[in-house]
Amino acid sequence: MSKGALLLATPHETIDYIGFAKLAAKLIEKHLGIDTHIHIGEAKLGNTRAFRWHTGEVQKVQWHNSDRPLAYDLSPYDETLLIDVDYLTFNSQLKDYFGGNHEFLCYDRVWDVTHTDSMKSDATMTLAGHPMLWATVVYFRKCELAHRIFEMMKNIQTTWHYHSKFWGFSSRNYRNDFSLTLAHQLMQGYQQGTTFNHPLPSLSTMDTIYKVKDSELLIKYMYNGSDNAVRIKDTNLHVMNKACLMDPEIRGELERYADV
Amino acid sequence: MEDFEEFARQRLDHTRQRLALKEQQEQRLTITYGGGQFRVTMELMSFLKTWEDHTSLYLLDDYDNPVYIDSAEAMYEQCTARWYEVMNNWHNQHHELKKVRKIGQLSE
Repeated sequence: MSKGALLLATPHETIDYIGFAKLAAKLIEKHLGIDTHIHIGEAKLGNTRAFRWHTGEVQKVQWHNSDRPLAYDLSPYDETLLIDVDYLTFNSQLKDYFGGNHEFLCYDRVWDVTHTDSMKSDATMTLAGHPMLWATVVYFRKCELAHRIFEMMKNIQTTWHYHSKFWGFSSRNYRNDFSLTLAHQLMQGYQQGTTFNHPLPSLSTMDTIYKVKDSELLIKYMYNGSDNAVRIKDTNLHVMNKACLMDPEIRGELERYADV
Repeated sequence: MEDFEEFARQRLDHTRQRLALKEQQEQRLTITYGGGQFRVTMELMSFLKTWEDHTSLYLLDDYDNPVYIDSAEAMYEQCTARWYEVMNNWHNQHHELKKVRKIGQLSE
């Protein structure tokens, strides 16, 4: 059984997704010891997204996220970890999921490492409060269930407006988390499927990494109008603040650590 | 009053740091055995240690799959190794935290 990680990136005018993918791949190889495959997709215009960074700046950018439903077709592996390019691997925890009984796993909870509940609004995705799953890290084995989930995601993507009306969410942007949530539930026979047994460690767009020392990340976050700090060590992290990953000093330290 | 504010802020940072430490260490307290995934708990270790009659058994893993355990002793050893590794690291970081006023000083 071949196993590896698949990273999907697209060329972007302001955010270096391809560079992020290369960094994420190096960290995966370092800590999980598995092959990585970076798929560079075509930048299709249409979806846009506004990020509010830690500096207070709001940046509206193109959001190229349409390739994710193709992951099953694109993966060269029997067992795949589909990982976002802004997810940094600092330990071997995800390795444990290979070779087990799992068919398809994703995250159903998020852990805001600053403990400020910044991602509280993402706990549910519809007016009725349907719990949201995260497409940031997905484990799947080439099997009928995984195939059908990704096929259903393709279907949801092409009938996005219908699903948004039916389920009760905004159709302005196609979002893989929503699409995955619906596909996962539908293909499990309207039941909750299997998820990772721990929450997804995440850093919001408003919080920033301000120092990197090997596998230690010092994080700055705002609380009640003042700057506060938290340190994480040997902990994987979904860095939603892409601006801090483009800071030359932070990026340089991460690259240096990944190369050792 | 500024001192009070600063003190309160530092206490908040310390509490959040402890919570972050707890979460990151608890995430590491798992092992895989016989194709199943298990959270290493004191209950599991005690159970394995007291499994006298047979070396093999079936256990429900974190995903409610019954998993064949070929040797309770070998699994116990794996659990204790992970327990020591994580708890030692947890203790060291906790101790380090007690010595600093500001979280930023942790990586100096």
